[in-house]
Amino acid sequence: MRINRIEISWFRGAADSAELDTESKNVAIYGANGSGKSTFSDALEYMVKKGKIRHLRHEYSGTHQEKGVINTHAPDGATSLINIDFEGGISIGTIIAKDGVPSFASSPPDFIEFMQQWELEQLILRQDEVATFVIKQKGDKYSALLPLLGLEDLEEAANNLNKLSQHIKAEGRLTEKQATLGSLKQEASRWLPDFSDTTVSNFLEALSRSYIVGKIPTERDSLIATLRDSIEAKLETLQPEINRYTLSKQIYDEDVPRKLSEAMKTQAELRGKIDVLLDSRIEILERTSVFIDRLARDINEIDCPSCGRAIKVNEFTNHVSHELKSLQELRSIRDIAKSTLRNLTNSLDKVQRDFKQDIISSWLNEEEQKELRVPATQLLSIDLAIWHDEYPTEDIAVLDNILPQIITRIKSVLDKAAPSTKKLLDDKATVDAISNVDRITTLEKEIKRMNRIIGALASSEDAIRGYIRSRTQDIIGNISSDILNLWTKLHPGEPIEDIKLYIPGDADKAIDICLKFFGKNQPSPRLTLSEGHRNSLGLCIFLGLSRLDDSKKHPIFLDDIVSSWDREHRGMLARILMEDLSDRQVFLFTHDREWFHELRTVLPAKTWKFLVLKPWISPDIGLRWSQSQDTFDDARDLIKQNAEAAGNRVRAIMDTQLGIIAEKLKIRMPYARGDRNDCRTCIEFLETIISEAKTHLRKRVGDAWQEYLDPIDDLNNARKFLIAWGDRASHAGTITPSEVEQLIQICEKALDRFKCEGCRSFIWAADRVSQEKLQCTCGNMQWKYG
Amino acid sequence: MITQMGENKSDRKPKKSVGEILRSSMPDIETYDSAVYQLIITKADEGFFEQHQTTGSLKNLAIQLLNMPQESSPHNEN
Repeated sequence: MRINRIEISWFRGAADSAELDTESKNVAIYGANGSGKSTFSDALEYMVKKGKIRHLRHEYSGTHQEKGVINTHAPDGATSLINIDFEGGISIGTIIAKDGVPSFASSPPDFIEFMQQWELEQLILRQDEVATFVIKQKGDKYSALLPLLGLEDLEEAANNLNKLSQHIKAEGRLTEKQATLGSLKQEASRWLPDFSDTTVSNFLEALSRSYIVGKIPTERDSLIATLRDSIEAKLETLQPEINRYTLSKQIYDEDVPRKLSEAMKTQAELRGKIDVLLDSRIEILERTSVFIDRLARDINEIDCPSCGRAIKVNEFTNHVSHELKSLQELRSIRDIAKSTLRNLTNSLDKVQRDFKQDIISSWLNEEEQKELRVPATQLLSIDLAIWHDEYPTEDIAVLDNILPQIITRIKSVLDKAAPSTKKLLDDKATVDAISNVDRITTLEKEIKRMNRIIGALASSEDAIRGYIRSRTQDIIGNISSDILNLWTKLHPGEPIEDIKLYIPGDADKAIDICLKFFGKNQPSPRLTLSEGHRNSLGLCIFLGLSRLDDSKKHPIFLDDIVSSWDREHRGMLARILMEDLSDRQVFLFTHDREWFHELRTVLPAKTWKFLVLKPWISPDIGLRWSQSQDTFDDARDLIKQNAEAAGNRVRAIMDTQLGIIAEKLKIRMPYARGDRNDCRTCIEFLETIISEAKTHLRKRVGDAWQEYLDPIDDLNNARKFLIAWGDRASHAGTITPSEVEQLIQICEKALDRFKCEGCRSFIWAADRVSQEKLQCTCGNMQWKYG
Repeated sequence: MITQMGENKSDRKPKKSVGEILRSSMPDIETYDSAVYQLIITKADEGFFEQHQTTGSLKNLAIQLLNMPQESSPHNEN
């Protein structure tokens, strides 16, 4: 399945219309960073993922990613669209509405469904994904490999389910409700053996018989109200002494000492946690300022501000999440503390009101109540209006002192009371307990429901994680042999063998790679693999994954993946592209000019198309193809802004191009001392090529071979101007825009001289090894290297 | 050649969606709290969970879930 054409309009960085015409060939695209190469892989991803692009998956891109997908400067009336034509007349397209909603269509109509089943991790490999994988430890390598395994979205889902549980807990005030329920149940349990409907009915029936004369209300709330009224009416008829007893009983039953003790306990717990938290947060803030400074310098690894362990910068998110969890725990404790404090305040308020009743205040004034009067007066002097979320510590000291005295005196009053009075008050307390049963039941239901939802979310999270694990195991088992085979091809003769992915049995959410290094088993590539090796391992994994389903044979996009590779290994990749991916259409994007030129000389023009993107300038101009194949447009684009930089760019392009050409022409450069062997300039190459061309370069005229001097003149011309103007741009910074323009034309002409004027193929198109000569396709231009 | 490797690769089962996994992992909720179950499954099918979500959007969903009417009769629970 080959792509013939990709057309994009007002999509990502593209403006009016940008077309990539592949002619059904493989495509290598060179472009500087930001020139828009990845827009084509984004377009494919957009189609496959039904209007979503993975790297735009964040809260700033809008509901339909419209803020990232549509060109930010698309004029009114402009249409954002993508059209992809495949061989065989198959095509697919989408128009993206202003709100980002895409409308897909394809011919044949069911092709879109087929295409949207393609798995992205088998289609597109981006540089950032390889690099992410490379720097990770085994736990994080798991996360980094997930996109390659196509399981990243499941990991995100597991994390979101976990966070949703925490929000259910917080928004449902689960901890606070559990505390309230505990308190209500404890109170009610003093009067009721259980809270079942039968028990409550039995109690109500018994109480009704004792206190209600006539018709008994059938509705429970009315019955409770009637009972309460009846008991209170009886209490009102009692003698003042008994009323005094009643109030004393109410005071006693409030159980203020217990509530005070609970409030103190939770406040102490809260204080203890806050103290520790404050110290650690202050320390974190101090270290974070250092951390931010270092981040600005783009350091990958830092010491965690919290625990001091060396961590990767992007692991910091996990640490923040951990800190958040600690704060959430603290919030739960605070909720309980608030609840117990509110409980205490309510009880104290009731007790104060009881003490203020005439019957108690006059009783307190009696001489024999002197011992109770003093603490009671102190209790009444406490101003509860200022008790909110906190309380004055001096009030607590007073309460600690007076409550035992008050309770002892009140209890002695209660002990002396008549049994009938006790029963009346106990029955009133029982009715109060029954009136709370509904609230207890409601709270129990709410808590049970919340726990059920939280449990379901937890088991869903577990199920997703279990699935990720088994799927990962399955996939990596499948691709390990491919990985090993490709690795051997990329790194022939290297003492790193038996490379394969595995899931460590002793760790959760972990993937690692084991290998043999000089015959010894190594549990991790971190011990032995260089960055370039780890990057190429990432590529092997991708290619292994792309082969998981051979039935689809869709194109493969390799987006800027070889930045960390040396020249030799990039050369090996070219071999894999030719030998192992010949049945796939490959789109290769690179910002590496040297490698691009090298590929042009290595990969067959019959099956490969080479394109160059000009540097991207602004959203309204969009993507622009260069007409030049030599990337001089990079330099041309710089002329207006900075002529010196453009001149330097021309020098750099010629350094690269001529280095490759010299190698193609099998020219032996004179030995240079030290590093200079690897840093030769275009001038050195030109001088050697010109010198050898005089005897090696020939042209067929009729049946005879003649020396061919015209190209040498152009090479000499390029040498002369590169020395004069190229050096001026590098060293003196005085080159003018028109001089750069002229220099580019001279260099382009010189490079074009390595192509045959007739067949337009390079002079090294064919290598006649036995005759030690290179020649163009038509054979009219020859380079003898023997 | 890698074209010769990886036998039976096309037999690999297609990846399960979050909705598919969730459907079989919440039997309790499905039985006793069908509205909550439906909302979670709807959100899963919409791709809500696979995407990065802000604290605000997760909080809103939590509130929505807590406010859902509980349709199934509670006596079935025991």
